[in-house]
Amino acid sequence: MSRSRRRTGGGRVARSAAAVLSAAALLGGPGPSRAQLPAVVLPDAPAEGSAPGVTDWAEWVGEEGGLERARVAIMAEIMRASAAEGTLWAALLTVLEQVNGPAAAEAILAVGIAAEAEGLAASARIMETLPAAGAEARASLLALAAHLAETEDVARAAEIREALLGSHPDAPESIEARLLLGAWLVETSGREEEGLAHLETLITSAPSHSLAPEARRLYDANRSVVR
Amino acid sequence: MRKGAAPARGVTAVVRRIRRYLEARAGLVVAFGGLGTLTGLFVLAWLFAGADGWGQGTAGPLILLIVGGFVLAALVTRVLTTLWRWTTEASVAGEAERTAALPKGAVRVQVELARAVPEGVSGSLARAGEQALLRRLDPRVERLAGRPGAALVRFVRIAALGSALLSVLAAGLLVATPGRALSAWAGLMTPLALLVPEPLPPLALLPGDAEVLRGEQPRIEVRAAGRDSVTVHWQAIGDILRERTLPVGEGSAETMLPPIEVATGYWASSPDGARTETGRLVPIDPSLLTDLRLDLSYPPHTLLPPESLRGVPPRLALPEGTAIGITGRVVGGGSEVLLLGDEGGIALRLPVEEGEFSGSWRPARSDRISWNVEGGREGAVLSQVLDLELVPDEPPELALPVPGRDAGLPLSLQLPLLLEATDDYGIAWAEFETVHQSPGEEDRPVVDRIPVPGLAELTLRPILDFSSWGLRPGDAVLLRARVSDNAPAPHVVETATYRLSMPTADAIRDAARERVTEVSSRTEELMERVARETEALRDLERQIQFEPEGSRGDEDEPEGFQDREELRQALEQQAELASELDLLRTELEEASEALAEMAESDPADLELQEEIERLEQLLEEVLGPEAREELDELQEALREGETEAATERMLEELAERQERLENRLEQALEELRESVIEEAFRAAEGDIEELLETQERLVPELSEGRGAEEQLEQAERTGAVEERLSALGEELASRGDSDAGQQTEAARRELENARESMEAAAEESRSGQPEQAAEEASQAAESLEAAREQLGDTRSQMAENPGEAMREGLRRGAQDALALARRQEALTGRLEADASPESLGDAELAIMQGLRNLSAQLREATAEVPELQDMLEQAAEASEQAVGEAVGQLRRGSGTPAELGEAQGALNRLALVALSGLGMGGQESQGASAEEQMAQEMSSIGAQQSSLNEESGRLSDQSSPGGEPAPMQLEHLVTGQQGVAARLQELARRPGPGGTRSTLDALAQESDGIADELREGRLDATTRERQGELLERLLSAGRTLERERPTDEREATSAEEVPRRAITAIPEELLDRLALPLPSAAELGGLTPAERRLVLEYFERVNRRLGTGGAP
Repeated sequence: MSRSRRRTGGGRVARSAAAVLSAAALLGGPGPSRAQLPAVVLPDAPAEGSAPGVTDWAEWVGEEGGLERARVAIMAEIMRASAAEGTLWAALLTVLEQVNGPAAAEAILAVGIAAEAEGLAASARIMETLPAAGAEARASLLALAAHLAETEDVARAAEIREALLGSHPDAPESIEARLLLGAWLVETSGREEEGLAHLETLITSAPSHSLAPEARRLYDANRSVVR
Repeated sequence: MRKGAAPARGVTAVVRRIRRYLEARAGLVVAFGGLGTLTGLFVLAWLFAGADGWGQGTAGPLILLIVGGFVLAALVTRVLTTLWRWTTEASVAGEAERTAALPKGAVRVQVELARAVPEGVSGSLARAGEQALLRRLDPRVERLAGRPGAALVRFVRIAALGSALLSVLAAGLLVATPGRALSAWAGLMTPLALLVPEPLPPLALLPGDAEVLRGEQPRIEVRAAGRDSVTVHWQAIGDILRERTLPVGEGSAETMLPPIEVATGYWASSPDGARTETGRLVPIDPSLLTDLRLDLSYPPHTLLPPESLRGVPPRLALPEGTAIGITGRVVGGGSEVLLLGDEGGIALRLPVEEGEFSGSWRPARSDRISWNVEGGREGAVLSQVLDLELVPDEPPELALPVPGRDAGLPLSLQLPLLLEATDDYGIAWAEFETVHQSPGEEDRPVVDRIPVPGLAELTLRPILDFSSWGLRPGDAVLLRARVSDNAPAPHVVETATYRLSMPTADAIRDAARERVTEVSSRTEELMERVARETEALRDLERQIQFEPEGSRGDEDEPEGFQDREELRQALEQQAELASELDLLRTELEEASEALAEMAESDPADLELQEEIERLEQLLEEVLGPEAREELDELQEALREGETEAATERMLEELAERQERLENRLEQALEELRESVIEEAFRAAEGDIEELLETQERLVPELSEGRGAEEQLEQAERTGAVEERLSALGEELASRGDSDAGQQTEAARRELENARESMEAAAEESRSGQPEQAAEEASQAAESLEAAREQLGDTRSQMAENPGEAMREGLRRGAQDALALARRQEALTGRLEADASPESLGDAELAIMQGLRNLSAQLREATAEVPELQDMLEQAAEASEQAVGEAVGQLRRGSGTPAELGEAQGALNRLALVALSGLGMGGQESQGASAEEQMAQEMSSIGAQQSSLNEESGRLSDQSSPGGEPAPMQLEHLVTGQQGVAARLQELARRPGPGGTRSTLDALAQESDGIADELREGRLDATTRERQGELLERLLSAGRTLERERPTDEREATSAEEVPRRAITAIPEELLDRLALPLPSAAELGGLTPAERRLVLEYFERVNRRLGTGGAP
C-alpha cells in the first residue's frame, strides 16, 4: 500500500504510546494525559506561502466556520490521496459529523499522524481525547481509533473494538467493529468460538446491513473449521 | 157243494168231498198267505231300500225275496203237511166219525170196504152198512171237516185279513212315495242284478300330455277313487321303464317325476287292473325376456342427461317425472309384456310385435315392478323385480354462515357474505334482501337477485357494498338470503334475518387507525420478505454471472433450464408481492372510505382520512403501473421462451426492479410507521380530551358530594390510556426517537398523576369530604391538561423534524460505505501479500452484496430528496460497477491491486456523496422554502447542463475532423438536453419570485433549441458555445434565486444589477480569501461526471457559505 507523504512534514509518534493507554482510558476513565505522550510533530506544518496543512485544519476547528473549512480541506485531500488514504480521511469526515471542538481537532491531528503510518500513536491520541468528548461522539471516536491502530497492531485494534462493543453496543459503529473483531477472533487461537458468536450476533441483529454478507461469508468459512 | 148228493156217492165220495173241502181251504190259506207275503215284501223293501232306493251291489231285495220265499214255502209246507195230515183217510174218517158220533172206525171201514170187499165179506152187506152209515153222516161237508176244517177256515180268515192289511199298507206306500216304492219294489224284481256291485271309476292321470320346462320335475297326480294304491310308470326316451307305487289318499296320489330333459311317456295302473292312457311329457324351454333396455329421460329441471340402462337393476331411484323408455325382445313367444305393480295391477302393457316390444312409461308412484309375458311359455325367464323409488323434489337447504349472526358492519362497509345452498337438482336463483334501518325509520327492502345456472351445490361469496348507502353511525342493515330451486313448482327457502349494525363514530375512527397499524405491520413483514427475495435474486444473478458455463444443473438438464425456472419463480414472487401490495392498499382504501361520511362534518376525521389516502397513494406508487407492465412483459417473455439467451440480463433487470421496489416499500413502510405513531398520538390526545371534558364536569359534582363512582371509572379509563402511552413511548424509544419517547413518558406520568388524583378524589368523596374531593379532581384535570399539551407538543416536534432520520441515514451510509472501502482495502492488502485472486472472489462478492444493501439503505434515507437520491444512486452504481469489475477480475484470476484500489476509491466517493448529502438535503431541503428548493433545483439543472457540456466537448474531441459523432452518442446528448428543458419547464410552473417564470421559460426554450441542433447532428463550436452560455445563464439564475430566498431577518435590499460573469471553471466568488481551492482538473479527471458535479457543487456551496459568513 502506498502512502503519500507529499504534503506531510515528517515527525513520528512513539510506538510505545499504545502501551501507556490503559483499558480504563479506553472506556472513558482516567488515562494518560497529553503531557505523558511523546511529542508529536504534526504533519502539514505550513511553510510560508504553502497551502494549509493538517495542523491548520485542526486549528480552524476553533474558529467560526472552521470546521466546515476543515471538512472541505479534507475533501480536497481525499481527492488527491490514494484510495487507502482517502478512506482514512473520509472516515475522519464521518467523525467530524458527530464531534466538534477539541475532540474534532484531535481527530484531525490523529488522522494526520496515521497518514504518516503512525497508526498506534494516532489511535492513542484519539483515545486520550475520549474522556473530554461528548458521550454521543465516543463510539465514532473509538471506531476511528481502532481503524488507526489497525494499521500497526491488529490486537490493539481488537482491544479498542471490544471496548467499543462493551460501552456502545447499539452504536452504528458497533456493527463494523463487531465484524472486524469477529474476523480477528476466529483467526485467533482459543477465541474462535467468541469470534463466531460476534459474527452470529451481527448476522442476526443486522441482516440487511452492508457488512452482513461479509459476516455470513466469514461465518460460513470458519464455522466448520472451528466446530 | 150241494147237500143232497152226498149219500148217493158213498162214503168214499164223502171222504173225497171232505178232502176237497180241506184242500180248498188250504189253498185259500196259501193264496192269502202268499199275497200277504208279497205285500209284506213290498213294505219291507220300501223300508230297507231307503229313500234312494236300492244301491247297486245290495243283497237286500234278494234277501227279502228269499225270506219271503221261505215264509211262503214254510206256509205252503205247513199248509200242505197239515193238509196232508188232515186229509188222510184216517183223519178224515176220524173227523167224520167224531162229528157224526159214529163209532170209531165206522167210516174208515166202510171206505175200505168200498174200495174192495175182502173175501168172505158180503158185498151187499158191505153196501148196506155203507148205506146206513151214509145216513148217519151230516150232509154238510164243513161239518164233516171237523176241526181241521175249522182251523183252515180260521187260517183263511187270518191270511186274508193280513194280506188285506199289508196290501192296503203297500198301496198307501205306493201312493205316498211312489218313487221310493217303485224303486224299492223294482229292486225286488231284479234282486240278482242288484247283487252286482257298482264298477270302480277309471284311473285319471294328470297332467296327461303336457309341456314342462326343461329340467323341471313334473308333478303327477293319479286320481284313483276306490283304490288303495296306484302305480305310476314312466319311461323317458332312451331310458328303461321305471315305476313308482303310490298310496292313494282321498282318491288321489301325487308324485314328482325326475327332471324332464327329454320326452317322457307315463301312465298309471291300479291293482284292480285299471290303467290309464299313456301321457307324454315334452320338455320345453321357457319364454325369455331379453335385450331389455331402460332409457331414462329425467325431467328438465334435474339437468340430468338421459341415461340408458342395460337390463333391469334391482333398485332404481328416479326423480319424479322421469320418463322410462322400455325396449326389449321376447324369445319363446308372447303377445304382451306386462309390468305389474306390487299389488298386482298392470302398470304398463307393452305389445310384442315380431318378438320385440317397446314403450314409454312415466311412473306416478314408487312401486315394486315385476315382469310378465302374456301368452308366452309358462315359466318365462323374466327380469328381476324392479324396486322403483320415485324421489320427490326436495326444497333447497340454505345457510348463511357469514355473517351467520347479528354482527357489525366492517370498516369498508363492504360485507363479505358466504352463502351455501344445496338442492337435489339445481338452484335457480339466490337473492339477498337488505333493508336500511335508521333510528326511527326503515327503508324499503332492496333485493339483489343472483341468477344461478341450476347448480346443485351453490357457494356464493358476494360482497355487499353499503359504502354508497350513506350509512351513519347507529344505522343498521337487515339482511336475509333466499334461494329457490329450479323445479317446475319451485321451492323457496330463506334464512333468518340478521342485523348488521353500523359501528359508532369512535369505533370507526379507532378501526381506521387500527387498520393503519395493521397495514404497517403487514408491510413490515412484506418488507422482510422482499429483502430476502432481493438477496436471493442477487445471489442467483451472481451465480449465473460468475459460474462457469454448464456448471449448473444436471448433465441431462437442458442448458439454462434451471436458470429459467428460478427466473420464473422470481417473477411469480414479484407478482405475488404486487397482489399483496394491492391488498394492503385496498385495506387502506376501505378505512379511508369508512371515514368519508364522518370527514364531512369533522375536520379531525377529514385529516385522518387524508392521511390514510396519502399512505394509500404511497403504497400504490411502490408498484406503479409501469412496474406492473414491466412485470407483465417479463412474464410474457418467459412464457414465450424468449429468455433462452437472456436469462442473465432478465435476472439482472428483475433484481434491479426488486431492489427499487424494496426501496420504495421501505420508504412506504417508514411513512406507515410514522403514521401509526402519529395516529397513536392523535388517538391518545382524543382520549385525553374526552377524559378532560368528563373530569371538568365531575369537579362540581364531586364538590356536591356526587360522582364518586364515575370518578373511579374515569380513573380506570385514564389508566387504560396510560398503558397505551407507555407502549407508545417504548415504541418511540425502540425507533431511536428517544426525545419523543421521553416526552411521551412525561405525558404518561402526567396521566398517572391524574389517575392517582382521580382515585383520591373518589376516596375523599366517599368519605364525605367533597371539598377535598373537588380539589383532587381539579388537580386531575390539570394533570390531564398537562398530558394533553405534552402530547400535542411532542407530536408537533416530531412533525417538524422529519429530516433527522435522513441525516442519520446519510451518516450511517457514509460510515458503511467506508466500512466496505476498508474491506476492499483489506482485500487489496491480501492480494499484495500474494494471495491468489480466485481466493478473494467470495470476499469481493460479499462486498458487492453489502454495497447493494447500502444502496438500498441510502435510497430509503433520501427518499424525500429525489435529487440527492439520484446522486447517491449514480455514485452507488459507479461503485457497483467498479466492485463488479473487481469481482469479475478476481474470478478470472486476473485481479490486480490497482483494480481493487479503483473499487475502494469508488466506495470512498460514495461515502463522500453521502456526506455531502448531509449538507444538501439533511440541512437544507427539509423545511426549505419554495425559493430555496427552486435554487437547489437550478443548481442541479446547472450540474446536469455542465455534464452535458463536458460530454459534448468529449464527443467533439473524439470525432475526426469533419466527421460526425456516433448517432447513439448524439441521441444521448439530445435526450439529456431535452431533459434539461423539461426540468426547466416544470420548474417554471412552480410558484416563485416574480420574473422567475419568464426566465425559466426562456432557458427551457434555449435548451430545446440546442437539443434541436444536436438532433440535426450539429455538434460544432456554435452548439457548444450555446451550451456554455446556457450553463452560465442557469448558474446565474440559480444564484439570483438564492439571493432572493427569504431570511428570518427579512432584510430589505435595494435593487441592483445581477452581476454577469464570464464562464469559468470555478466561479469567481469561490476564490475569495476564505475560499477553498478546488480540486485540479487532473484530480477531477478520475471521477465520473456526476461525482465531479457533486464535488464542485459541494465546494461551491461551502465556499459560498464561508464567503457570506453563514454557519456551516
